[in-house]
Parts: sequence; C-alpha cells; structure tokens
Amino acid sequence: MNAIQLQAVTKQYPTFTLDSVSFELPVGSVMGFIGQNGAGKSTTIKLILGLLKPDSGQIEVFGRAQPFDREQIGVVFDECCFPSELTAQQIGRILGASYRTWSSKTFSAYLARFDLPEHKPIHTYSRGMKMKLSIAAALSHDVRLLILDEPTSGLDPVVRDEILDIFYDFMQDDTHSILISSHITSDLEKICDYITVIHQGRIRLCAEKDQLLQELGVLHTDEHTLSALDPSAIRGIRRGQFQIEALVERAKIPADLPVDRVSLDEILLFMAKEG
Amino acid sequence: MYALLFKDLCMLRKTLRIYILFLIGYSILAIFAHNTGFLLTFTVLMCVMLPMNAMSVDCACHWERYAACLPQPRSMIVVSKYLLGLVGLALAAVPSLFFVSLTTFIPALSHIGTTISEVLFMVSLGLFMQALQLPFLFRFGPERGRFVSIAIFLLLCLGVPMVTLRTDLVTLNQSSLSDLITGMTGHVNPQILVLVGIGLVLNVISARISIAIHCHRDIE
Repeated sequence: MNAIQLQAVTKQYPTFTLDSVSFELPVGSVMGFIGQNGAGKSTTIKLILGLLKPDSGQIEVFGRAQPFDREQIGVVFDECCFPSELTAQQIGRILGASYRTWSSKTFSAYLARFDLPEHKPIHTYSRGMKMKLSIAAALSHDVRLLILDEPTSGLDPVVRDEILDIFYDFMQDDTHSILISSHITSDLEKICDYITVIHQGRIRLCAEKDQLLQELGVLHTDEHTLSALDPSAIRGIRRGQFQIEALVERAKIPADLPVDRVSLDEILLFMAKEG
Repeated sequence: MYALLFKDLCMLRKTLRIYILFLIGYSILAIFAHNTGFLLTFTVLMCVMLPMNAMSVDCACHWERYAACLPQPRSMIVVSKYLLGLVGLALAAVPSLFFVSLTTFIPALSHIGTTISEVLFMVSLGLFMQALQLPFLFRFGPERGRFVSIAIFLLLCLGVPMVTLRTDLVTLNQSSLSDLITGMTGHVNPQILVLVGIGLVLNVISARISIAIHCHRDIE
C-alpha cells in the first residue's frame, strides 16, 4: 500500500507549470523530495495537502482521494504557522480541540524533550525552537504520515541532528511514512529510502536512494571519450573549462573508465544544469 | 470550531486589552460629555474590525494553510470569523446597555444615556458592515480587502444616516449629519428590530458566499 500516490498531477500558473507529476511513497518508508528553489516542491506538497487544487491528475493518501483522514497526517511547513502571540500551552489546547486523537501527554512530553517553555509566547522562541514546536504538534496525534516542507532549513547542525533523530524514532513503526522536502541533501542521505528529484516542475528522477547512489556515478572525462559512450548511459553533463563531468550509469560504462561515487547534491546539480 | 474561535480570542488578547483601555477612556468622556453615542459607535466599529484583525494575523503567520490541514472542513474557518464578529458585536453592546440600565435606575443620569433601540440600531449597522466586508476579505485577503471595508464604513456612516433622515425611520432630535455620526441620540421606532433581523439574515447569506469563496480558492 502507498502512503502517497500521485498520478500525472498538473497545476498551471501564468509563469510556472507543475507538469504531470507522478510518484509513489510506499507505507513504511521515507521519501526525500529535492529540487532547486521554485522547482515545484512546495507546490507539490500543497497539492498533496489539498491546499491547492490540481488542474488534472489524481492524488491519493492511504488509497483515498480527497477528503483524506487528516487525523493521520502531520504537517510541518518551512516556517512556524502558529500566531506568535500564542504560547505552546495555548497551541496544545487549540490542537487538542481540533484533533480527536490529540494526546496532551505526548505533546507535553515533546515540549519537555525539546526544552520548550510552555508559557512563553512563540515570538520569544528561536527558529529552531519554533520548528521543534511544529514537529511536536505534528506528532502529538495519531499520525501515520508526516509531510515536511523544508523542516531543517536555516537550522544549525545540532538542531538538525536532533530533528532527524525524532524522525528516526517516528519511523520505528513500520506503518509510518515521511515525505520530506529539503535543500540539505546530507540530511536526506541519512534518513531517506527513496529520492525524488524535481526540476522546473517535472519529476526528473524517482528511485530508491541506495540503488540510485550505487547505480550512478561521476565520470571525469573529455569530449572525445564522452562521445564514444553509449548515450543512454549519460544522465547529465557539466562542462568545465578543462574537463567534462558526466553523471553516468555505472553498468553501461566500460570498466576501465574510473567512475567516482556520486552524492545527492551532485545529482541535483547535474539535473539542474541539464535544464 | 471552538478551537478556531479560542485561537482568535487568544491571538487578539493584546488588541482587546487596548480596546478596553479605549473603552474606559470613552466611557469617562461619555459621562462628562453627557453623550454615550460616540462610545457606542466606537465599540461597534472596533468589534466589526475584529475578524479583519484576526485574518491579518492569520495571513502574516500563514495560519490559514495550517488551519486548512486540520481535521475540520474549511467552512469552519469562515464560520469562526463570522462568530468572532458576532461575539464582538454582542460584547460591543454591553457598555452602552450598562449606561441604559444605569439611566433606568438612576433618573438623574438620564441625560447621559442611550436607548436600547439606539444600541440595536448600531448593532444592526455593525451586522451590515460585517456581512458586506467579510466576503471581500475572504476573496482578496485582509490587506486588499481592508480598502473595501473602509468604503463600506464610509457608505454606512454617511449613506445610511442620510437615507434614514429622508425616510423618517429614525425620528431625530438632532438633524445635522455630524451629530448623526457622533451622537445617535433620539427615539427609534420598534422597526429597528427588523433591521437587526435583516442584519442577521445578511450575515447568513454572506457566510455562505464566503464559504463558497474560501472552499474553492487555492491557499498559497
């Protein structure tokens, strides 16, 4: 069963089109959603959440089209959406009255774990604290799917690590799933099972992370060698002043050519350069 | 619903505190100026602005996209704003009703009081304003919708008194327009209750329009 399934989802704006986006997130897995700014990550997430209406295509969450059971979905946006005048305690009361499955005990436990003051207004919190509060709120009801839009952006490595630890804990239950968009690909490399790359509103790549990193590599070469390669082996090219770098499928490259290990960052760069 | 209303009230606590300070100031002014009309007008206007203020704060922190992810229909977000306005209008009438009851029990203070009909008249004006402004606020957002609110405010404050003067709906002791805006004194016909009823019906219609707008729009 899939936690999320998108089929040919299209959304058109005057200056941008999310073009026939399709991917599946199986239950029990974490999908990293990467792309440049303006590539369509947030638009896709908003479409999944029902904030935007697609022009065409189908979106299913746990096998159901809209309206989904929102009790099962936890959301963390790139910024804290709670009014800054409110305190964590008031947020708890508001969400407690909104979710049938809200657990005040779990929420208080998260506040204590994150060292968040219950009675101070949110505007006194640091960015890291605000993100932790958003995560605490997302995890304090009967949530099976976490949808996170850049939850770690702008945070220092220590806080980012703490947050990733929470996601690890959450994924200990194999009925849980996470869709996480981020620019920080090192974070995604740590926790993701699947990687989806979006560029200019189109899905360029969607695969299992380990398989992807195993199958792809970077070949440092010259024009002559490159032209002799099987074109289907080349997934992206970056031309420098002195040499050419190519993102290649290792299996289709002659064994005598040295292929370096590729990182998610490099994959994203190759996809972006390809245009 | 309770959650959204509670959120708005918590969020507006600071604003409400400032309103209370103004209210105390205007109450004192009303006693010394022997006229509670301005107090009534002020409280109604402030309370009509509550949903707009709440929507501005929501907009600033992107609460509405979070609220749209909560397990409740989007229509509840709209209804909660109407309820906030109605609760505000009901509360706006309280200080003036206090003066009404004061003058009932202490005849010597009759010169500073208002009548219940005058209170109801202002509440009905508030209901009209809310019914007219909220669909625009939901359609254009609180920043652009604010201009529509100002236009409605001017229309009601200048237009309605002129119409009522012509149609004798309100029999006025004072006839000048400035007195109409700042001091709604005078005896009001029982038909004023019809105005309140119309105001409430308009709010129901307006809420349905706002729900249709809000449920069909994209939340960025």
